[in-house]
Amino acid sequence: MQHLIILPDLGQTTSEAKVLKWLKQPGDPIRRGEPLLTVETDKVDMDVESFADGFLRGILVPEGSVVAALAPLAVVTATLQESWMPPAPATEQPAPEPIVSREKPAGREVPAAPELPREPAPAHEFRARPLTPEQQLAMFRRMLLCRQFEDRVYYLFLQGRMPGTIHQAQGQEACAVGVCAALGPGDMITSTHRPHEHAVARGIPVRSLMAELFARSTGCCRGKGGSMHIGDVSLGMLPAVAIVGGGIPLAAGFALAFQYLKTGNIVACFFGDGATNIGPFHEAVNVAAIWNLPVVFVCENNKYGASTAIEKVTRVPHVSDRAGAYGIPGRRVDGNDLEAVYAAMLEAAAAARAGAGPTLLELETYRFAGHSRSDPGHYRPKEEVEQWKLRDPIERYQRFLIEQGLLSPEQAAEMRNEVERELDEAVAFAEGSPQPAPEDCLTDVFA
Amino acid sequence: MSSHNPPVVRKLTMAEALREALREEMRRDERVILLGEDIGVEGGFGGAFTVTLGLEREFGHHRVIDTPISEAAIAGLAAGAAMGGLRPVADVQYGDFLFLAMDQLVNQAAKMRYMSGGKLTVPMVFRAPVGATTRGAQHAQSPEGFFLHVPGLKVACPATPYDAKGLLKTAIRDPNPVLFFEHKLLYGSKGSRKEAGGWELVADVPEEEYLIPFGEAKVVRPGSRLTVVATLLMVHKSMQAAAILSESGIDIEVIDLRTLVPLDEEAIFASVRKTGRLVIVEEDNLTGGWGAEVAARVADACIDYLDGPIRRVAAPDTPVPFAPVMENFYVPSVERIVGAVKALLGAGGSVG
Repeated sequence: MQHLIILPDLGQTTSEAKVLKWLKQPGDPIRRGEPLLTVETDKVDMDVESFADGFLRGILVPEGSVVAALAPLAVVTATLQESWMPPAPATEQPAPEPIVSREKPAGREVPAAPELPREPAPAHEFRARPLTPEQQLAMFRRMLLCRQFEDRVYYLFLQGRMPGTIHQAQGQEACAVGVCAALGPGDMITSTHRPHEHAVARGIPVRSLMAELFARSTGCCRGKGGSMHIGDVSLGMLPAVAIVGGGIPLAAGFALAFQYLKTGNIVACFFGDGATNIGPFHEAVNVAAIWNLPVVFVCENNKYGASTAIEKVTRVPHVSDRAGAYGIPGRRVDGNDLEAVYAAMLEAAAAARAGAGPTLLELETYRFAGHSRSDPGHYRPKEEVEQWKLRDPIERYQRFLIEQGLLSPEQAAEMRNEVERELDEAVAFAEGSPQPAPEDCLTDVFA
Repeated sequence: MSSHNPPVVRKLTMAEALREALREEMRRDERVILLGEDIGVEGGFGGAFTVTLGLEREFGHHRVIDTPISEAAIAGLAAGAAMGGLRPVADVQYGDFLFLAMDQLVNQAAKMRYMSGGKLTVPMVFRAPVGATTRGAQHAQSPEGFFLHVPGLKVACPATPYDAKGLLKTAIRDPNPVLFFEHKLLYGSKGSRKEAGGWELVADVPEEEYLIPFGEAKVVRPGSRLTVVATLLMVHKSMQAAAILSESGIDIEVIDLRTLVPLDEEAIFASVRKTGRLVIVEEDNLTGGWGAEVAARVADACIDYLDGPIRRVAAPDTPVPFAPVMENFYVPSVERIVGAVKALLGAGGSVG
């Protein structure tokens, strides 16, 4: 099986890049997500990653050359034995010749790709919770679905199959799943420009999310929303709000409706650390506090607003410290500890439902990806990223479930395969769905 | 109402008519709530211009909800509550404060339905008093034109108590976000606060229910020589100008647009095709106001009927000044309207 590695579409402002350095040589084993080369654009230097496991076979562009977005860069094959071909020529352009072909002889014993160090995550509080094994496994599987959805979307982007931009949340699964697991069907969530995992965790069908990302008429917003506005109000998620902090007043308003109509429902309002410095955060949290609105303010503190570290722009050490200014409880929780998030949310949700008003939950977490698709995240120290990867919420919870005898490594692997198949189906559904008609852009302005 | 009892018609001020619309709609539909600053405080003043005076006594503080001074939150609360199944009527004390709420109005309320692929509705009303009233630059603007530019928002601007009641009731029942502009000098003086320079405006308002559909302009004075389109206070100034002009034998038509979104193009076009001349009167700054949009559409649709250029009488492109002499110069006056009409009809405005 041959995979063509292309230069990702870097966004409308950046259409080409210069190849700085190949990090791998033909014949080298490659893991999915491993950097193959470094390129330089007018915005940033970034690594281009492989979207497949296998072996680098052909390098199609030499160091120093400038290539356009979506141009083929390299060929990766699943095994070292199989033959490979350069890509078919694009219209009128000569087929790129393999520039470098210093392949090691086939059949040579190839060392396995190095494993990342796997140390136990720092101490965390897996206390007994009122969760059945079925619930625990379902929450674990939901985290896998979140992660693998994001990974799949990432590689679809690398392959140039999706339009637009993406902001991904790999690493934050315990926040999304832990919070949403504490909600009922009539509750509502509001989300941000980084909404994929919230939507998956909330239970929006992945096929309708995938179709929206593919800009198809079968998408959850019929192609009018896109990555930053996914949601489905009938399934408990308002269209995500991509203005930082802009969804917080809406969450308070929705909670006001719940309170007024005495539905007993609550709103879970997701936002990032960056949103806590925008005025509407203050206005909405204050008003929710004085009226005891049934809303839980969920800050996923992933330490960076785009590339700016939160401590550079905020004097108080913790977002949860701000709760005191509104006279509401603030709680700081290990956001990579699924059951800790769930327990904290359950408590905050119960208080909100009981009329005791909002809680500010600060979930300390980390996004493994850059801010958006064109961001390699160079502002973050490598050691910091590595440290947080040791706290990967999925690895941690898997270890816990195995220790508890609730899951075997084989079952976990099978679950991942099952999720992959679900995503295969979602991608097939999305790619097989019709595009909206161009003139559909004219409808849905007014009711 | 039985046929033996003719409809009861009272003289109401604009503030009273608006209050009556709110009261009727709140009685009719429990989902209607009010949100705003100082709107339901006992011993308070019923909002900045008395419109909500006393409503908290009938409906309680859970429906007449006093907010903190948090305009972004007020707009977001209204939009969120509207999506959550309520029919909020929010207000700001002065239209100038809308700029504090722009993200919630423009990025959230106006776009939520669209972004959801038509799955959501945002049935909210946002009331805003506008117009220059010797309060200086930040309590005086007429920002209707900003909202005309935002797909997904409707814009209403009643000029009379009768229209105010009927349009506000329609706005509350509309499934879309409606910006509802009221002119400070038109609220009337029968409330507890008399507005300096305010017009002694009262009008017949029936007690019975009536709705005025959006997108239907009203010909408030038929005429043949020239068309004037206006909204809010400028309707009344245009009527005064028409009375002065008629003394010189110049018979003009005055159209009150009543809503800017939707815009009743057909009423404007029909009038212009009849008269061949158009003067647009607006209190906003000249550049980029709603008058420019009307002018462009008339030029596009009626160019063959026009006997002269389209003229706009508007405020100059400056902030609103404080000094009364400057403000009087700034706000389009009856004299300027008369002048514009006469200039367009030729020197002195010859009859014929």
